[in-house]
Amino acid sequence: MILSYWLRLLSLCFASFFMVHVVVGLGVRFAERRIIGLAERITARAAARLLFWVRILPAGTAVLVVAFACAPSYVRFEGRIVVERAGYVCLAMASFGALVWAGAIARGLRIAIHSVGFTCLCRRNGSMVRLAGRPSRMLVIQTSRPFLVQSGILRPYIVISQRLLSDFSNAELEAALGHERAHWLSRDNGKRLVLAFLPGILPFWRAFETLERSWSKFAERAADDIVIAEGPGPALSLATALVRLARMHGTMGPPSWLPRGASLLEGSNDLPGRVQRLLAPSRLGSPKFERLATIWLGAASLLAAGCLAVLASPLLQPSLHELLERFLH
Amino acid sequence: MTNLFNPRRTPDCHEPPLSQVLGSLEARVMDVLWGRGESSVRDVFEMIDRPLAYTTVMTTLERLFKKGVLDRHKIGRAFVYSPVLNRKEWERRRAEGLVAAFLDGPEPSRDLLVSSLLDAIGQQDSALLDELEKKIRRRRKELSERGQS
Repeated sequence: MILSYWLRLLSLCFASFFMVHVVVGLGVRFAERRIIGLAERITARAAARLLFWVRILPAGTAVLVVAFACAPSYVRFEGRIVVERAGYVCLAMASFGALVWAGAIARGLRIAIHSVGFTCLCRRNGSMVRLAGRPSRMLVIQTSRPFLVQSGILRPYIVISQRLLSDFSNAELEAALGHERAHWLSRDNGKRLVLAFLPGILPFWRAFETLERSWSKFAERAADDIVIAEGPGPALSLATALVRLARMHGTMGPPSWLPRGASLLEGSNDLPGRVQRLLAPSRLGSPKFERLATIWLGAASLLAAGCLAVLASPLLQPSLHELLERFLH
Repeated sequence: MTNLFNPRRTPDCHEPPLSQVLGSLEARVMDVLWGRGESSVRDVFEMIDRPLAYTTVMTTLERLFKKGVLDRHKIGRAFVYSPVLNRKEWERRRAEGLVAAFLDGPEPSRDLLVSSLLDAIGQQDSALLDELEKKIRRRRKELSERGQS
């Protein structure tokens, strides 16, 4: 197919992105179980951080390779020929690359719009309560459904149902709010947004659900740890609040607004694990494994940076361009 | 016809959100009825601040009755209508309906940027919850004993 200079550049960028992303993504998929296993042995906060960066690794590496190696070599060495033929293999790869990005952006936008809509809805229908001495703003929704969520990224709201507000004791409420405050401090909703915008390996195969679910689990545990750090009393109150909330959900039937079928997914139902950690806070991960995780992540980042530096080096650029030319045609 | 508020007429608990049920005229009629209380068609017709035909008001009241929003009984030859719920209860149901409809929609909350206190909870086994509560009680006892000693 005959393409213009800029369309060829675009095709090359998407095709290169797709190939690098597939290779690194499959590598991450292959190592997923081991990484999650390692995450179980370190503190929840470090585990959440590790899994978040591992999830970013495929797309991050692919974007950097395109931005600092493929695109510059094309711009530098490709003559400004108006039109040139592009091969079908390259075009197919580019289409896949464009599709995974289109899917990711559509998903991210849908989630962002949905979330803004939800926050607006809660603001319109809830009554605002300012908590003394706390930066958090709380919206109380007049409903018998038991829920407590934190919505929003930059200026989040805590949305709580009237039922929970009246049923929880002061200590339980304080512990639950401490948990949500910890989410806010670690910007977990912002990280959710980043994850929403990350592409999957193939257009219809996201491939990283287990990793994302594990991140979510460790983010919850990390928020619990902030409450645990306040002492055994608040930890106990949070454990009580969790079990009471689970009991309320049980009596009302499964909350239809929570992820459908989530309880059937392996590892998603972490209630016993969380309660156990709140009751026995001594088992909070080993520094040895935390160092190991840092070394792993550092090594992976160094490897990615090294590959990138080699690809982007002026010595290798002509060879890289030749390779890309062959691929393009 | 889905009946929203009257449990005698509505065994189905999967109610549609109120915003999908009431139009602007219906909402205005409800305003009049909440302000005045029990009213006949003529009362509502005279109170409403829009140029409407008497039969339009009558049809609207009839429709609201069929939806379960209004109750009615006969006084003489005319029906007298009254709201099934007061305004406060209505607002409560409205908020609940709207939030629930949002969260029950085609996009589950996994697709919301929210952190939930109890993430990804399913129907919990009550024996498991009993067991967890027992552990919590034991731990509380331990803590209180340690505090006393």
